[in-house]
Amino acid sequence: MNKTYLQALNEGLRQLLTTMPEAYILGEDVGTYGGGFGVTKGLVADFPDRVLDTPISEAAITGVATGSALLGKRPILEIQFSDFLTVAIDQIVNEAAKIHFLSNGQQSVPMVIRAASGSGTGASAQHSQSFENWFSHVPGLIVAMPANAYDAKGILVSAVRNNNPVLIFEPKSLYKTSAHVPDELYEVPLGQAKTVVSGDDLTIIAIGRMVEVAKKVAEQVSISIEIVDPITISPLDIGTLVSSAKKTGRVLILTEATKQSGISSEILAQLIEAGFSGKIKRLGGKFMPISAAKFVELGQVPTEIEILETIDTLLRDD
Amino acid sequence: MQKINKRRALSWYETMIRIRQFENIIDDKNRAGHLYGTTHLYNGQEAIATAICDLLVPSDLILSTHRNHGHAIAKGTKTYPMFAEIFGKQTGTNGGHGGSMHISDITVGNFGGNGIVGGNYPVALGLGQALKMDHSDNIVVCFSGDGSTNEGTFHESLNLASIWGLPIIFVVENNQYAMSSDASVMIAGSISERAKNYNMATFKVDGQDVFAVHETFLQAQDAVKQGPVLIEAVTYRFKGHSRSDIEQYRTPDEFFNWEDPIKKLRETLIADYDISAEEIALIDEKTYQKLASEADQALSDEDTISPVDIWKAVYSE
Ligand SMILES: Cc1ncc(C[n+]2csc(CCOP(=O)(O)OP(=O)(O)O)c2C)c(N)n1
Repeated sequence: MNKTYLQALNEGLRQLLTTMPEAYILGEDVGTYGGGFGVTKGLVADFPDRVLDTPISEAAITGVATGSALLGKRPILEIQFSDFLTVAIDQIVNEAAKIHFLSNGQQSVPMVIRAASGSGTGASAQHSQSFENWFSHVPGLIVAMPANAYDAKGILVSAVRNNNPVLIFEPKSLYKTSAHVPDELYEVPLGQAKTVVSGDDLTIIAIGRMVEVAKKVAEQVSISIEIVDPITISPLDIGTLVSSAKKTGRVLILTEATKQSGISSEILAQLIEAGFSGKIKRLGGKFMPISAAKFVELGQVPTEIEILETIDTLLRDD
Repeated sequence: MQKINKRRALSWYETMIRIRQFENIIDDKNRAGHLYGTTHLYNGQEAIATAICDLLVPSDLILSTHRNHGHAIAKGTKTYPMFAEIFGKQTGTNGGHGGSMHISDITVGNFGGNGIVGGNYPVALGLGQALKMDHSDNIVVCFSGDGSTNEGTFHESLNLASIWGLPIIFVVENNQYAMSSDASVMIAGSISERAKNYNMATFKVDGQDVFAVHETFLQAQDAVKQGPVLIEAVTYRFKGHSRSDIEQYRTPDEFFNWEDPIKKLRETLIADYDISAEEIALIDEKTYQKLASEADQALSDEDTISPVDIWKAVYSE
């Protein structure tokens, strides 16, 4: 059945709460309000003791998730906008991410943080950022960014069952998009890229909401484009990306996040280190804060026109 | 007996009705599909910004939150560029880049709204420290909401402001809710009691009564000469948290328990100040006409487009 990204997550959360007594949800307004964007809607009615509304205290609630995970709980923490992860960053980076290593493997932190991410809503510079790159820099964290409703549910399930801190960035512009989503619990594996569209002439490696944009672009060109979605950006499934790149000989990497010091630089570097010698281009968000103004914001992430132009330059002079 | 003269009381009314109608128009334009981003209305809280900013001079500084329209208007930011800002126009207070949550105007000491709950407290410290270094008589007023007092920044900032004796008046507008969370459930102890433990002068005032806020702020201005002050203004937000709130966390009849600060002032003006209902209706009408035409004009202004020189837009020279 087709379900929206929101419905897929909501269903996944409900099934996880039903099947895993140690799982619980916490976060600001996750109860009656249903979370910042409605993902947790209706859950508190059925799980009053395991859907916890918290004060606006991101550092503290991230600590609650961390500490309870140490004792075997499976906390699923919502941070309303990924922008507010910065308020919790010490607990995430210096505590949750380090504990397994520092305890010499005696302790583990099986927690999940979900955060709505990215631009597209006119909410301006402090409510529209793409911070997935930041966290992919930290050993001990798993960072994923599902690009459709199917992957959203499957990644959530894998993340909750995983024994490490997992950050899931949910592109908020995708919440209302639908895909086929099975009714039962299923996993989409973390750390495994997916070939979304197969092709021969050029590879687009797209992350998050850029996957949909890439699909639209692929329909408009006469060449055969392969689209690969890493889904998890740390750890990165570089093997799948390298084989696609070597097959087509041309790569375009698309991110919503600014490309400076980002995952696209990382992918580019790893492709070259793996012996790829074809052509590579990157497109990412403009290096500026997200504007509240619609016509600025829409142009701050790679547009279809820019992507088509970049594909042209990749195809030219070979 | 009138402690407040008629002209002042009337000017409060004018400011409060201007804030209310400005936001009603924003609400209408939102419903009509003219707003791209979100918006948070100050409806019900107008007496607080009004009475406080009336006692400030332009060189006194304010910081606000996501719910910043009322503070901006009361501090003297012009409504026309505020409309333009919210509509994403080049003529906006912030060139259209900030939107509803980030209206600032340093020409009147308005250092702006903030999208990060609790994000303004530490910045207030810095403004206060700079004023102190300059031996200035000016003060900082840091407006915030009840929910923000659960952020670490609140506690860190109260402590630092207190030990360094910074000239800051923290005004926490307790409108009973932080999005859906009920302040009485989420806050251990009380906001004003919290400040007492940081060794600060504290006040608690009825935020629906503009006269009471005025009186309290006068005392706070006296107290801030000795160090930071916190005022908890008890109030109520009559509208939803933001434009997407469907308000299932409260009952529709709850708001009958709360006085509308504008209605209350209107009644006082009629009863104690010999002002007729017709005079007030005229003020309402004139204010509305002016704002409505500003809004329509702002809507027809040029949309903000991407800066030609991004570097210059993002970095200072
Ligand atoms: C750090 C951070 N966490 C969460 C949010 C989301 N958020 C925006 S406003 C708000 C409620 C704020 O409540 P309060 O401080 O009482 O102010 P009010 O909205 O009542 O004016 C929340 C949770 C945010 N903007 N920033």
